[in-house]
Amino acid sequence: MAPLRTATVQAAIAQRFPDAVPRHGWSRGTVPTGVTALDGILPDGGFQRGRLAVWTPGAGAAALLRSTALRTVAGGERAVWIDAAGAVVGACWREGPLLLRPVAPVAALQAAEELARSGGFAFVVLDGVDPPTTAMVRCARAAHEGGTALVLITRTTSLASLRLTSRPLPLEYGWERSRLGEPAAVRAVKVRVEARASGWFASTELALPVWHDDPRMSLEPEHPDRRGERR
Amino acid sequence: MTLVCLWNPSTPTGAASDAELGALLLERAPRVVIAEREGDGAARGSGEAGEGRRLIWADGRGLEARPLAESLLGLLRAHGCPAARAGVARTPIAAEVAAVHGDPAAALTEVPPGRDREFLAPFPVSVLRPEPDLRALLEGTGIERCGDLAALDRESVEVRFGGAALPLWRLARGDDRRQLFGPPPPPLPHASLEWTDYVLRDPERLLFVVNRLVASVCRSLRERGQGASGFTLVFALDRGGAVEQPFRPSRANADPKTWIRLVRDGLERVRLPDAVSGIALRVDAARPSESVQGDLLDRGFATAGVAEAAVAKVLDRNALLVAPRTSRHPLLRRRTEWREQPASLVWARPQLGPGDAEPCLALYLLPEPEPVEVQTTDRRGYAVPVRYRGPDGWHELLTASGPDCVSGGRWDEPYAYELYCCVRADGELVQLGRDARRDAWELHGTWR
Repeated sequence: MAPLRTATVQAAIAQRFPDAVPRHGWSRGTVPTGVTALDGILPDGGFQRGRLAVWTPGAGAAALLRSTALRTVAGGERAVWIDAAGAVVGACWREGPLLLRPVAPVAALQAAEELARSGGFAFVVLDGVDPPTTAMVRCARAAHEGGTALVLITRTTSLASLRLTSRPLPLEYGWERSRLGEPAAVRAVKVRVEARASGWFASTELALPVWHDDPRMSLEPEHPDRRGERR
Repeated sequence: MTLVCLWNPSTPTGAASDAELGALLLERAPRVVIAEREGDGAARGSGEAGEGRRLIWADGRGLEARPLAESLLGLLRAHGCPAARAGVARTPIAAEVAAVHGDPAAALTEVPPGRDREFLAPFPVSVLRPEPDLRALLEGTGIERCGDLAALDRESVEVRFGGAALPLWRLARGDDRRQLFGPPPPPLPHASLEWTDYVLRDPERLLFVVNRLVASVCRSLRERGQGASGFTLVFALDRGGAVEQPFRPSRANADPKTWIRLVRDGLERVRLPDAVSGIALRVDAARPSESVQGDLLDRGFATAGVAEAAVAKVLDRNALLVAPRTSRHPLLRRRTEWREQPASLVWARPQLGPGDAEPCLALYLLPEPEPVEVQTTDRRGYAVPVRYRGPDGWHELLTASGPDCVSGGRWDEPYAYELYCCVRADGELVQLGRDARRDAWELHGTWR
């Protein structure tokens, strides 16, 4: 069989039956984020399976990774979010990816390693831990063995094949104004995302909406809202 | 076989549900059945005291029947059945008649072993609840008491009343063939090893022994098609006494590797006050091995098994798989209750729409609000922050929207906050809050 035809068949099988692809097989592919502008700056159009990526904490990191996890689940694969800091707010969490809460940073690293190595998860995110270099080695190895796209939200960047940073542009906030012309609520913000890999640098700017809590929904009648009350 | 029959002649007041009551009774009796009294369906349909028509059967095999019955009666009285009565007998019919029609002055009627037929003899035939046509036939021939019916021979009954009367004749003779309880379940697997010539202190050697016990118990479980959802290691100490170490795997399994991993972790925590001269391993609870029906066209189907095993392994190592249950509490920090989920959640296929995965900045709260120093300016009576000092120094604020005032918790933990959504000079979006009750500023979280 000609090499080209083999590749075509392999691609067709991988597309239709991803689980039929050998764990250490011919092509590992990527986990696309689903955000076209972001996929455009990533080396292979997404997070590479079997590789460790690091996203430095900053506005937009969790939002875009959460979106990627949701798209992974929507595509029929499995994703897990390891919330080591216990920072995820239930009101903003959408059902889909598994949400793990380890009791200690060490347990979080062990969980990331175990799940990445299992081969049962296409996308694993670890948030809230700054791992030592030895742990990064283990995580990178586990991702490679399991063919998982493992992303750490951390400032430790060693051994990562892809490094991402994101920062909001202070003057690019979209505000909803009050009747007096004052900023009442943030509606959207423009975020600059930069991707670095070996021999690769690309950046883009994305406009992200901002989720807002509705804190005034169920005040107790005994405690009237003090909004507008003169002090 | 000794049976305890419990009967409540009146409608229970504030009674627990059948499931709750059954769970309570099972703490005192090995097996319990709550059943509607045969022949009382019409009464229930007619709106009579339906709840009171139910009989509760307890298996008293191998137990002191009278203390057991008194204990169960006490439990029923404490749960809304003050007039409950009990009957103890070797046959179901005698126990039932003793409970329902026994001495009204006594809450407990006990039928001596082998005297069931004699006990039933003076009662009218109606206590056996014959069919109406059979009842009329019996009355027409002058058979009023159970003893009268029992005195007839089988052929006479069959000739005069037909074959349908034979079951009633048997009941009148104290011959009740109902099987209220199935055969007792086999004991849960267990294994133990003791030694007398030496003692062990080294955890590795203990683990070596445990390994053998685990292999034996897991094999027994697999043969039964079960997995253990709980097991206990008992270390017999050299100078007497024992130390028990329970284990709760995140999913029922009979996998020796998983068990040994749990035991290894457990041995690191357990403190043994003396050398060990024996180890016993017993299964506390077992469940049938489950196989989940999957979808061959599901892209994650083939890997669901390994994913579940990996998650179970992680859950056994101090992690929780959670899902939020969100209330309408005004304070975001108290709005979510995290519910623990089983490892089998990996088999679930959540349905997500195209809009569900759109990225948006969401608020991430700090584990605890972080006290900060804030400089403010006045804006229509409110102190609006213009800069704050966190652990990493001063941060200028370009914009601060708010306040959103939330207060409440009068009946549990009062709170009153003024919340501001602030844009820092470096572009980060943070939530600052003023605790109005303490007049203190706090950093609550950031949008990420």
